[in-house]
Amino acid sequence: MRVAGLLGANALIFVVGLGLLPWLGVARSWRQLVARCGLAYLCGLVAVGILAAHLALVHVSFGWPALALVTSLSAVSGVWHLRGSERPVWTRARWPVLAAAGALTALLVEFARAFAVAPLDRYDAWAIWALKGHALYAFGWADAAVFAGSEYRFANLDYPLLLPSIEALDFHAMGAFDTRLLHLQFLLLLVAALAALGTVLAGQVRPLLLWAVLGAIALAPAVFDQLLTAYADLPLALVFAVGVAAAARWLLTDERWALALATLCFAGALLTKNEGTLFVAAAFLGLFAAAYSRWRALAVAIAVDVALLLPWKLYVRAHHLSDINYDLGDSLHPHKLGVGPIAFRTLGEQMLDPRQWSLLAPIFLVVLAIAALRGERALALFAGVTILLSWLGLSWIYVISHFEYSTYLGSTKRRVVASVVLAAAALIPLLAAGRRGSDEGELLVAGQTGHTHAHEA
Amino acid sequence: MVVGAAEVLPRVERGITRDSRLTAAQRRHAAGDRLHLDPRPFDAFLVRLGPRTRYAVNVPPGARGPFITRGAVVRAYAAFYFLPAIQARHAPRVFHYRFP
Repeated sequence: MRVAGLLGANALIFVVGLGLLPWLGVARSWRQLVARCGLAYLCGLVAVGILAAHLALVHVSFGWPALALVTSLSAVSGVWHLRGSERPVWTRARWPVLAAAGALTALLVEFARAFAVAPLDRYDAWAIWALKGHALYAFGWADAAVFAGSEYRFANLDYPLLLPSIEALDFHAMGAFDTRLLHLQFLLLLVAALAALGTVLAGQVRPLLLWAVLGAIALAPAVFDQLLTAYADLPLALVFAVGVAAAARWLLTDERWALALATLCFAGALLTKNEGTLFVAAAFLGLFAAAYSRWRALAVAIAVDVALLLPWKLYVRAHHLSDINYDLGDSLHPHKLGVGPIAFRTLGEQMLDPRQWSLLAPIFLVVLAIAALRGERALALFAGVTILLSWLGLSWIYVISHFEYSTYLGSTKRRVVASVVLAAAALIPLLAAGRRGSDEGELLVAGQTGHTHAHEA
Repeated sequence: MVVGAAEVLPRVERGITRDSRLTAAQRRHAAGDRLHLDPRPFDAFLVRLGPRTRYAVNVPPGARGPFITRGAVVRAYAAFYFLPAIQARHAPRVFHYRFP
């Protein structure tokens, strides 16, 4: 019964996402909605997570009634948006695609057997995320007695509430604080991200390459291990990776919906973990470096993300919450500057470890070099700047940490690189695919053509 | 994919085999067991609490771990385990925990 509740809530979240796609410009017709419905689940999760997290700040509980209301509003408005538009044309899927989808589904079902029985026993999972999810479920909002209470400072109170809000919604849906079945939500996040990534990259790269990368991500040992811990690092990485892939697509095709999708995913990343700010800033800097002439569109995207983050930042400021792990004021501490290169090297080794991330990082480096040599400046620049700045930023956290750096690095190095590796992995198909455009101007011309096609499709 | 499959599929099977045998009580105490905390004081105190009941924690600092002391770990675990009761610095009900 609890599983049915959990899956039922996620089905409604999928419908929320479907209704959202026309508003994002992802689907301008029923035909496009069907073709791009793979984006619906992740969009729904991020949108519901953001909404529930913000409502929690103003004393509004997000359970079945709120979810049903949002689903209805989203579905009705989506239908209204698409009224009279082109109907889908059903085509028979090709057998290699069916085989790949079947193999990936079988793998995820096997994963589900492990996720359905896992105990919640890892420190951050219960001390930060599940504790907050339970408090939101029990109290109905971000009650300051817990979310700003001095006795709860250990729970990183300045971390945003997207993930706990989704957990709280799951507890509402299950009718209980079930720490076992909660793990299934983390697997469902992987399902949503893989479907979204496949849809973002579809039509831009060869299906074989796309399915190979999706399979490699699903089979990366660290993806399974870290999702099973119920920490926020992998959810953050998955949402961020889809955002980076969508941003790369926008870079290549100038399709406005791709930037809208990236903006939504980046907002999700910002509201999942504080490190999301670092990664999203790196991605926007990469976009500015690669597509400076389109700065107006990027400025709007940044403004939207800042606006979506603002309510949480106001709550943090109002309750005087601060980061217990590090302080930016320590950035120029002369005795700690040597930590930076050590952390940079250590994190690099983690990303290259095949027992964690298979060969995703080395393959990214190879295709990045090939893309750069081929003259695909914009995409290579975006990929290089985003990944390098994210990596450098993560390394800097150990410089400004309050903790002894080697202990802190040793306990977190495996998981903090997840966003960097998965963002890199999401870019592999586009970097490997090769494009005719060699500079931003040419890409824009190609993009405008693609944009027209997209509208016509 | 081959590298990942060779590494991850055995882990999946090991995880299923190990975790599917856990009883409800073992699952409930999994986090505390991982920290080698005695579950009995926690369960005994839990029955005295209701939603939003305020309680304080009395625990010695204990040994210093990599990030926080053992006493701080007990406070954190109590905060998790006793929710929706609310931990406070001072309260009429006090949870006492002593390390063996």
